[in-house]
Amino acid sequence: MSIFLSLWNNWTIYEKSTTSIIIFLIFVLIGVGTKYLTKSTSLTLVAMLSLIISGIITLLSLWFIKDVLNIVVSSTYLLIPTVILIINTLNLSTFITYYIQEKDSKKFNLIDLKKEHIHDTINLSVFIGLFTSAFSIFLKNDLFNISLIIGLISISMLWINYYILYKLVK
Amino acid sequence: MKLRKIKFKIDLKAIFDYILLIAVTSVILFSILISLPLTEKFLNGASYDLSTLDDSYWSKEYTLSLTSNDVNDAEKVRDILFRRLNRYGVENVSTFKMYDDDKKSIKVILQTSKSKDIVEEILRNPFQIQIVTRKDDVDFNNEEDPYAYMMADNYNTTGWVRKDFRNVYITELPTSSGDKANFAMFKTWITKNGAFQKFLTENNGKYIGLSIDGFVTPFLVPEGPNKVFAIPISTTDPEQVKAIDILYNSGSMPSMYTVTSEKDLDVDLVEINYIYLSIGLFVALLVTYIFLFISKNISNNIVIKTFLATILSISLYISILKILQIPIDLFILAIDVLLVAILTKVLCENNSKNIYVEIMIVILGLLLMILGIGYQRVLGFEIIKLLLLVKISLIFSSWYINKVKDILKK
Repeated sequence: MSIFLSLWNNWTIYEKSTTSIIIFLIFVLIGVGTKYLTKSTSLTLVAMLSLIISGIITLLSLWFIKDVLNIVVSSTYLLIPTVILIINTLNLSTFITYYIQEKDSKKFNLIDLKKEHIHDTINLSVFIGLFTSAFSIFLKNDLFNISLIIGLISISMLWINYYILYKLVK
Repeated sequence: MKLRKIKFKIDLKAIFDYILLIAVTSVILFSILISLPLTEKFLNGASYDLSTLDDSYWSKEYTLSLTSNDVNDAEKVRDILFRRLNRYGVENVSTFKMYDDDKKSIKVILQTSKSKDIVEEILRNPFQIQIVTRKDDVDFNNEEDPYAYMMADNYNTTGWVRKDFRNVYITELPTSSGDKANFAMFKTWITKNGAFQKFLTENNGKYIGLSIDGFVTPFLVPEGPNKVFAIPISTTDPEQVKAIDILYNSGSMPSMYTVTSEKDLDVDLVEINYIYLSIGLFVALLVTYIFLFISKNISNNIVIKTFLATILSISLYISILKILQIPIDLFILAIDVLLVAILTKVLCENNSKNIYVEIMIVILGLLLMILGIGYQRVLGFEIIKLLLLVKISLIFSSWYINKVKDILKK
């Protein structure tokens, strides 16, 4: 954890405050937005948990790169959390949108939501897996690592999202 | 003998559709060709090189020595310096504390593609501001000391400093000669407005001044009510004006400092080859979409539409960059390509139900643009541009595929 502590300790007040504000606003916007649009506490919980877990996994992966693989984490690696956040937001917004569209239909039930979500998860996992691995082969050094890490964390997040949805939404 | 009448039935709409489709196909192919690497080798008279930022990068280390020995002041200086450089768009800034008991210094290491002159102007000027009044015993008309009006030692402090003003608004105003010039207008906090107006009224018709790091710009307080304290800015260059705006509006500098040492550093950029990047993209798209097509997991219509929209988004984006000679970081382009592929796939599969997805991405992009640090700001802007491009490409791809289908049916 030394990487995060030394980074945090050396950050200016501006860096600490803007990063905290971004994280806070994303939480509030996604949390309040999900609750307002779906009126479902369990879906809101899924969205919040997903954000927290994606943050933890991304930080752990940066720690793994630096301390276990002994790779120097340059500023470019710090884009990984942002890209993961964008991809995770896309995934969360997709199933929330599906829920909003279908919740008023008579035939809709939560099993449909889970079915739709597993379908999306499989499709997107295959897509991201194939695309990032094929793309990474032609990249080298830092960008090779970054592309692979983004691919791996994104796919992990898709399945973690599905797992949380499966467990929490009943 | 009867002559049979031959009727020619011309379907003008079909002909127009054919011509339109041919023209559009040409535009798509043209865009793809321009976006490919090395196209410039085969086209004479036109330059289609991708302009990268690689050569614009420079890196330097500065050590700043503070006059104040207070840790809180030093932390605030470090904070303001970072804020200024980040606001100007310096991609990579690191500030390090070098605090001894009797001396406070800050090491700043930066790597950027931005103008060296302006970045150094932002870094080297503490921009400590205070409003001053003329000392009675100084002769400001003394011909032997023509710079007397510029020296802060010749002025009395008034207690009015930067933190008494909520904002310094940079705007163009007419000058006494009828031309227009940029001015820095000082906007007070509501609670201090009355006191500041009283201060200006007490100095009606007199010269006061704005001291910036010990050098004073004189200001003649106008007669009449509702006085505005506006100091002229001596440049019209937009980049310089932006830098001055940043210097005025990034907090109140608590301590003066001087640059005691500086050292050029080697630029450390992510290694990437544009040709390999293009081949990688081509192979990745081909492998992925052939698999999706064969696996029949998604309908063939969606696979074709997504594939076309992805190709179109990426080729249009690179073509725009090439034609308008907009420089870009190649590693940002690689991440853009990855995001476009995923964004197009997600938006295409959900078709008309995308409004919430799009709103979330736009909000996220705006948050990163406004509050992000370094490359986060760049990526925030990129994701909004790419979303727009993907939307247009998806609409266009649907239209194009439908037109081709219509023509093939006839």
